[in-house]
Amino acid sequence: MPAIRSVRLAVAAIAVAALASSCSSSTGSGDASPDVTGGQTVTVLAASSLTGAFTTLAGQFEAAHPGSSVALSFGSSSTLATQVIDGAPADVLATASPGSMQPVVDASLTDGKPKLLATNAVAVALPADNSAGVTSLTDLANPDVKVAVCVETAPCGSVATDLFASAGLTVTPITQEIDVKSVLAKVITGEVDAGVVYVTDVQAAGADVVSLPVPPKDVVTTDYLIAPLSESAQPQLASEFTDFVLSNTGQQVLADAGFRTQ
Amino acid sequence: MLDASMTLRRGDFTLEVDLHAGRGEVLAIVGPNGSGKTTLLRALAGLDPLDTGHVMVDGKPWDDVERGLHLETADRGTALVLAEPLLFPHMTVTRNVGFGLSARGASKAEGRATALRLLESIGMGEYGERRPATLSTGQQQRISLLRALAVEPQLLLLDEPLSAQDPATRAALRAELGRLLASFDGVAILVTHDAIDALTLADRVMVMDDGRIVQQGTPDTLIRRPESTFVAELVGLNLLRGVASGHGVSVEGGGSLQLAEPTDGPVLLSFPPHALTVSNGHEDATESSSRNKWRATVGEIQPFYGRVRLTLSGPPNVVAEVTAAAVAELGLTAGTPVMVSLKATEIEVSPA
Amino acid sequence: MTTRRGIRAPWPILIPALVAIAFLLTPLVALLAAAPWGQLADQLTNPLVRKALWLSLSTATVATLITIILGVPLAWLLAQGSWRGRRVLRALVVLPLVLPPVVGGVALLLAFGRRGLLGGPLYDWLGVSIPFTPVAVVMAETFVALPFLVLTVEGALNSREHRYEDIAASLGASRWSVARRVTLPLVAPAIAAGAVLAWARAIGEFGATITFAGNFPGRTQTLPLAVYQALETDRDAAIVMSLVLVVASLSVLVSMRSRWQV
Repeated sequence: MPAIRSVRLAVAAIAVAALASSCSSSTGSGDASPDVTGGQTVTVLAASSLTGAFTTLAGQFEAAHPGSSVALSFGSSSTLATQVIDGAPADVLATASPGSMQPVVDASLTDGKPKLLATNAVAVALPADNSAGVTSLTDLANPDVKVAVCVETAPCGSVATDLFASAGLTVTPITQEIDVKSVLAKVITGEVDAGVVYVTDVQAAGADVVSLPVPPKDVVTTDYLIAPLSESAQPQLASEFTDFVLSNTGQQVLADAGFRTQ
Repeated sequence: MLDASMTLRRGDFTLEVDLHAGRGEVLAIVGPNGSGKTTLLRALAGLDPLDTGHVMVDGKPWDDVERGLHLETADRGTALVLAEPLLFPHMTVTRNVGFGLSARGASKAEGRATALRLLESIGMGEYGERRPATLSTGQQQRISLLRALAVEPQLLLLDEPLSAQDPATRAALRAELGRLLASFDGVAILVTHDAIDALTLADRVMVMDDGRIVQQGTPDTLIRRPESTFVAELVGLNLLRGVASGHGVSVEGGGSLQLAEPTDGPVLLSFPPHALTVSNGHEDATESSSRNKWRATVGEIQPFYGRVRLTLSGPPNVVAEVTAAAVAELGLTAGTPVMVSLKATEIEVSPA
Repeated sequence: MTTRRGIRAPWPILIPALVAIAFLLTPLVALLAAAPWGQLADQLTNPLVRKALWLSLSTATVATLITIILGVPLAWLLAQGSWRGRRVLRALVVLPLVLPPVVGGVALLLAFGRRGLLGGPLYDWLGVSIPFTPVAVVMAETFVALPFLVLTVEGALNSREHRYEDIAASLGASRWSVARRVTLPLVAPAIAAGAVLAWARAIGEFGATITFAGNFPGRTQTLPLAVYQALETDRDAAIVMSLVLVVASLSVLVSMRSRWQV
């Protein structure tokens, strides 16, 4: 029957077209990524806790390299790592823990060994008015106190787990957010009574939050790693940016944000 | 029992009507589309408010614009039957017929009992548990009529109840409607564009055009003395009752007519005035294709707009329509003997 | 050759339609192809998955019931011919359709959060906090699903045969009686169709849920949230949960379709 034969033919044609397009090379061809000014763009994926610092660094880098532009994308370290492995077009990756960088290294997607970028310490943020009256870490174990943490699989989540373990507390959070900025947001709006974040987040939030003192023995830190990516279409710019961040200038910016640097 | 006088404005259209009807009366309202028949019915039902006027039923006011009174549809003693049966599709036949009773507070058992009784009375007792969708349009309309009669309304409003039926069912349904109306003691208002309905079912007929009543009277009056071409064309029909056996019909009141198709039993014969030819009495009765020829005497002559209506007494007594020229040629005046002929094929036959 | 009743469509219609089918089918096929069939049993018995599935099914169903109870009267109001403010009301009803779900979540927080317009007084006077509870999940799902039911039912009410109601009124039925015994049964199929659409929308809701109800296994982590979290670290689990969601939704939709003609 002509109609049915035609349908079969059409389906076959579409299938072939779909296969053909998926077989084309997906690796970067080395062409410069175009941007508005006709210069070159370096895409940087960074953990959300680096938002403030990297925004500043990006501006300084662009000023030092006229014609270039830095495209920043912030998110949960594990999400970003997954995106890189899935083939997201990126040039540099900065994660909030070695653990979240590891899968990218294992997939041979980093250009050389990742370098230590900075260290961040855990902090507990309270809403500015602290209406729940939280005064010490042990208060967080109180079931009436609403605590927000990151999901276990994110660096800020494992930092929270380590913090409570070190302090010998059983804390049941009321929510596990995808990234640290979401935790911070919940604290600032007063939806939760406390949130486990980083020192840099507390600093960045300024007067919107109050920091709960953490006993020095319980302070957990996490190491940030940075690496240019091997699939980058801008290898030159990628390593320049990485070097810039690791330079004295870059490290100063990070220190100003509250990170612990070399 | 019904005393209504109203005006209603709907955009460019204005309805202005005065009507009265007595208990047990069937009042037919005939008119072309857009003449306001449905508007009038909706106003009587309380679905549309009046601009001026009043509606009183059995001394009780249903509408009184001056006093700001408007009785809600549900509180009136009405029942509506439309062209489409519109039986509630999710209810059985029995529940449909009993709907009005249960809506007015009757118990389920009462409603059911009355519904079944009514269904039995028209021979549809076994259809009680059926769903409307399983019935023909004709059967549905019969049940729709019962649904309306079940609440014993003071005012039964019928809006073209036969127009959605196919021609074969229409005649039988008309006959049944006639039987049901005969035993109904409220006021029945029957809106129709089909003159046969009006002339056979109604006690009085009102002709409407452009929102106004242009003539009213008994069916007979309207046929014999239409006051305008409009009315004449609308109700222009001869209606004779008789008893048929085979091709012949013995006409009530005298005379006989031949039919094209044989039939038996009480019948209603209808044919338009222009189907009759009139010639002077001198011709030979056998020479023509028309099988119905009889002698008659001219009674009234009613001229208007180039045509003339002649009332002829045979028997059978008929109204014929001829040109003014023909009247002159034949020298017709009251009392002139003439020969009337009517083609059997022009006669419409329906069971009475 | 035997003749069969096939689809006889002109080419300009057939081609796009086939492309559409391919577009819809390919992701599903990819999901099935990537599924770790060997691990299926393990993943399905994972309490996290079962909790998320149970939460998704129960909240979506409760949300759908609420949309019916609230949505049918609202649709009624909208279908009541023309009254002042009707246009505004309809725009309001369509709003959750147009609003990005996350924005909806933020708005819900601002309304019902602990510092919210209504949530604030609720918390201060009664100590009742809505965010981060299953109630919040139901509210988020109801918010996004309501338009689907309201618009479906309003459409049916607008196109209904009014003469049934005229007849019922003439027979003596009060307005409420007419609504209950005549109108509602006539639009019942549309209510069911709208409910199915609402349920489908509710069970897939993500943005408003994660923002307003947070993310906690067993309490507010519905399947979409669980999938999102799992994507970062345990892709296999994510795929299995996605398949569970697909199967659960498809079985409900298909079973309803045969009865209510969605």
